[in-house]
Amino acid sequence: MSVPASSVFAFTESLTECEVVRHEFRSGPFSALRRSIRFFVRCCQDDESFSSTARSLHLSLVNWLSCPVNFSEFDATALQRVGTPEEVLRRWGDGAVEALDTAHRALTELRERENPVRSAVVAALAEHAACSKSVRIYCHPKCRDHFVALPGWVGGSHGFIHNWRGYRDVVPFDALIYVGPLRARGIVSLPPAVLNAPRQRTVLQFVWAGLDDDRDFGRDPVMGWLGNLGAMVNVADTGASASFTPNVWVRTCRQSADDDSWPEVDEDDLQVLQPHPSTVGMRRALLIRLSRGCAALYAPRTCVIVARRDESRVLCLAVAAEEIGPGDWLVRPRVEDVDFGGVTLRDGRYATAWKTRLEEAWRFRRSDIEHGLKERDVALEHLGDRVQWWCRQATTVIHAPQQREHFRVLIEVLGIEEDRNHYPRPPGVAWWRLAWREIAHSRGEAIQAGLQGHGIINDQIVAILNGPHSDLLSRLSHDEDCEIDLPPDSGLSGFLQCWPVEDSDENYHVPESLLGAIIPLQDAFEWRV
Amino acid sequence: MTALSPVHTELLIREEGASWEPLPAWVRFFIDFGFAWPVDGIRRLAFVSTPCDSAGAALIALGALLKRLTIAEANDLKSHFDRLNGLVPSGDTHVRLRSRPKSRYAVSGRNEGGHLRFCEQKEDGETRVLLEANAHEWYLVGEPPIELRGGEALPHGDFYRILIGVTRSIHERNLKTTDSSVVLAGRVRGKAATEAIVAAVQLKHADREVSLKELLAVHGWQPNTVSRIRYFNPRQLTGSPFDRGGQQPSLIIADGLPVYDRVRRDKFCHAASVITVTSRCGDPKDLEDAGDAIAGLAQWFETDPTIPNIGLPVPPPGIVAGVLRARG
Repeated sequence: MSVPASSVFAFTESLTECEVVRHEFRSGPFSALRRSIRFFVRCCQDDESFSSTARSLHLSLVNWLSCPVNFSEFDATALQRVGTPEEVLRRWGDGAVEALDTAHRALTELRERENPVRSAVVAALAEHAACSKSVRIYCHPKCRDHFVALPGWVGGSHGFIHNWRGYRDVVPFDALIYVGPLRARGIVSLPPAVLNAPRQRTVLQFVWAGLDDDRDFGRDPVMGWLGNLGAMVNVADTGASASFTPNVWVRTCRQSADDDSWPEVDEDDLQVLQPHPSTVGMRRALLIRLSRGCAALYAPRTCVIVARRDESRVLCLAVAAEEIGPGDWLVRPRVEDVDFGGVTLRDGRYATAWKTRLEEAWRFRRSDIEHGLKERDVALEHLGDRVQWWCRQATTVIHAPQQREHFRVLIEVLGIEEDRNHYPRPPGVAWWRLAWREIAHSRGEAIQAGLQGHGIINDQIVAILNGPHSDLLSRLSHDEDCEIDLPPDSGLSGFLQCWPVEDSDENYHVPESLLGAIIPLQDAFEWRV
Repeated sequence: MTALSPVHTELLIREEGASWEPLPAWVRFFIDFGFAWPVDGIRRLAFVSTPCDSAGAALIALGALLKRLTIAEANDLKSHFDRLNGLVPSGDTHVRLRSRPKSRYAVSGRNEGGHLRFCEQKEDGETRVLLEANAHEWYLVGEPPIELRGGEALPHGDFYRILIGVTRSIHERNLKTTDSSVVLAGRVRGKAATEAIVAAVQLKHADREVSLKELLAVHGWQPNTVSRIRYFNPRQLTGSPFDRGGQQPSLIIADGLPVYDRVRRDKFCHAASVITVTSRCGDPKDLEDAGDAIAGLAQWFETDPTIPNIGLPVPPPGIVAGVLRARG
């Protein structure tokens, strides 16, 4: 729910002093542990069979750097996945064994110590509680449990903010607590509005050494450019700046370090390590957090069914995934296949010609094809499997390379473009374009049929739940998911899964196969970028 | 060309769920900004950045509406005849006569003198001729009348007069006539979302209360009277995004950066100045994308050296504004 503009403007007008207090911590054993984990993340990223281990290690490290974790409860599961010392030696050599030993020693030492970040957050919360000051904590949802587990935590007195939407909708308060560097992008980040459109007087930042803030954090990308041009309308000479540019904030930095002889190498783990070196093949997704530690991932603008309370009743709606919010129920139909008289194709004239040529060329001149494609910078993995797939007869689409440029190169490598005798075409028209048009047409029809079928089922379910069977929605609970059988007279056979929605989050890149699935929330977090 | 009187002690305002209060600085700023916006034929772009979501765009539109009320002949009367005279016989276009609002007339060609004929759509219906002198009697079905009859006028003239203050006066005919110069481009979430925002802001004078929605005189929100603000629906992808026809707009107030982008790409708006209101609490990615797009404006727009002299109000704390003007 939006905050009244009057309250925000009144708060902004009252701000005469704004402060960012950066508490920076350095710990010898923790630095050593970070260094070892970084080492293994890099090793695992280079080895495809260890990609999931790399992700787990990276996420563990991110967790330790962005949450007030209890050192005594450090979860080293991810580290164990790299293997035994013998396996590590065999795989990565002496340096890796040394890094593993360092990591284990550091863990042992840390488990006997207090996390200084944790202690400082506890002290800050207590200090503000004593003065009856309102506090909000900005963190990733997975960090909530660490805050709730803090000594002296009083449930309900502190609020959490997890994303820019939460910050937009929060009423002004006194202090924002945040563990991590002030950055606008990346796996540990927060919205620049924290500084350029603040809802709080003070930002209390708790951060490990080596994690610098973005120099321009808080910059307004829209007005910043206009300011560079000198296009701003005059600013009043008041005690509070109208613009709240980053340099308006009073910055204080307090550093502390433990006393030890461990080597200290504090690199910026969040910058030098990327959880997914490449997002090629991934799809941008929105995470919908559900009850019971589950989550659903949807591509932006996916149409989904939700149930939503509207005053005294519950309504069923088809909305875009971005419009799902806390308090809604996600309704997932599990219906038996409905035959819409779907689209099936036969290979067109052009597809028959190039597939025949491709099949023959692959059988007798495979190396020429591979060489030709590589020479033209078309580097496709598992080329043999792909060629076999392309040679298949059309089903709902004509099977072919996904990218138009790859298809053009393939036709060129097959020698079809030059062979006007066997592959005639109108003057001035490239043969590959005619063939591609045929493929694109088949894809458009298939996509449209799929979309239309999905849309028809959604419409029908919305009509059922808002109409004669609206009583079904009375079974929905805010605490638990449930299944609702579709009535026999509804025209559909199956059931509906209804999940209470707790929150939503953006900035995920996931494999196509995960879109629309219900998965454990902890598994979903590893796809956050 | 000064801003409105800064003292509106007679007026109170409240948002939904809040208490009545005198007009705060941010409300006065938005209204004054719209009122002071120069009407000099120069195309400008302005971006007004706020620390939160607000009805700022609608308030700027209100200021621009108030300004147009003080300008003689700020209405569609002159262009209305041209528009009607350009109609051709077709089954789709119908008009009404102010004095006979229940009758529908269709275009039925021209008489020997070249004047357009309207034929009443019923058995033995009458035929009338369009002349420049009687053009204000006719209006298109689905659109507001171009001018009200007799003593009728927009219902909230008292609020308009208080907001304008004593330094200027309203041309009374403007309260009876439709104007298409100013456009409010609503939110990308749709007309309902925009309507909810403006309906939630209310003003009070003595015992009378009125919502911002009523003051804006948008045809769809106040269908039975003249309209002084056109509405641009960014979700309308086919057909015209405007709620009614009219001349090319001179000023468009866009409620949000995505709407600015939509307006910018509409050919009918290419000559208009655009004021975009944006919240810094929006999606950071959208703000970054918008920033990149705005950076590209430098090839067509430049800093406006006249800005310090034209009387735009100084932004209160939390609000930032920048103005560019078209090169050449």
